[in-house]
Amino acid sequence: MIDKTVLYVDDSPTMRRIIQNALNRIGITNTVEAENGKDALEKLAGIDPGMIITDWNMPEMNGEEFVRTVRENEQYKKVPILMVTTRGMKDDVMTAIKLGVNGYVVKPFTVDVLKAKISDIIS
Amino acid sequence: MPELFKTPFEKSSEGDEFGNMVSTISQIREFFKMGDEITPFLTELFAFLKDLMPLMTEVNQSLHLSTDKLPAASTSISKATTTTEAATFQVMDKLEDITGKLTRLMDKQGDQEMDLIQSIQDDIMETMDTLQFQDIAAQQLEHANRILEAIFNRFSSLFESLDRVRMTSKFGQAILEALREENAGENFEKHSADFHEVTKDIIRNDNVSQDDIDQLFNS
Repeated sequence: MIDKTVLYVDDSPTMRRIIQNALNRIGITNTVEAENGKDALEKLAGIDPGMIITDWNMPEMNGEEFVRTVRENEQYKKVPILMVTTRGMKDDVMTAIKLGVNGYVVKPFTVDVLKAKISDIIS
Repeated sequence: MPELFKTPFEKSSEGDEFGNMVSTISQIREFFKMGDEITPFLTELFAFLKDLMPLMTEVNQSLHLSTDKLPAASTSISKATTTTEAATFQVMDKLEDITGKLTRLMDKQGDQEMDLIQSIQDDIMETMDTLQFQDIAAQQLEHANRILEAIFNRFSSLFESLDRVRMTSKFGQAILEALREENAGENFEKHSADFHEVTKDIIRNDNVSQDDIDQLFNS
């Protein structure tokens, strides 16, 4: 589905494991995980990212700050970003769109939804 | 005007002083008239404050007790997240283990059984996905935790302000003294005990291990 590395960012170990499991079932095995935005920025430096999946509510650096930082970076500003979060208010989605997020999934998600959103983004 | 037709008070500065005096008396009379009207209101106000004092004292005590409990409540919430996270991981380990066993079983079965095993594996994966509730619940708890911390901080600063008033103002000290006298007969210790009973930690304390409990039973 995606040749390059998929970076997924979530502070919850449970969610990281579920996302990892879901990605494997979709056929994405080249993955790197990060605990928060700050950690993700450090991990980005060592990979060639094909897509970023990120949570919103995280300590250290939240998803909003992380996406803004990524979009301001010349090297990563075109990397597709999917936000997977518990925040399901319309205002939140609008904020994410303005930030430059390419897709948005509200937790809890199903693998089918995740797969569909990833397909949408990379196509 | 001829001198003859002037009143005696208009003739000299003494007259001016008398006029001022009459004016002042008139003002005083007005003041007392207003006082007569205001006295019943003040009496009512004092009676109301007197009734309010025991209530305020109890509210104050309750707030202190509640505030003291907030850090413990916050810690309990954090522990709940850690506990559910660990339990969720155990469930995931088991589910992955079962999936692995089913995969090995697939190699030894015919097509009919393969479909059944595949169906079981899909069910297991769906079960795994539903464990997202742990993260969602954790975030809701985290939100509740932030609210508790905010309330705790607000009350702490409120109590600091009250203490400052008591220390620095004679008025504050006088009120406090009045409250003490007024509520000398109140059984606040009973209220306090009731509150502790209702809010005491009923969840198993992690400091005591199962071995410790067994030892206690055997001793």
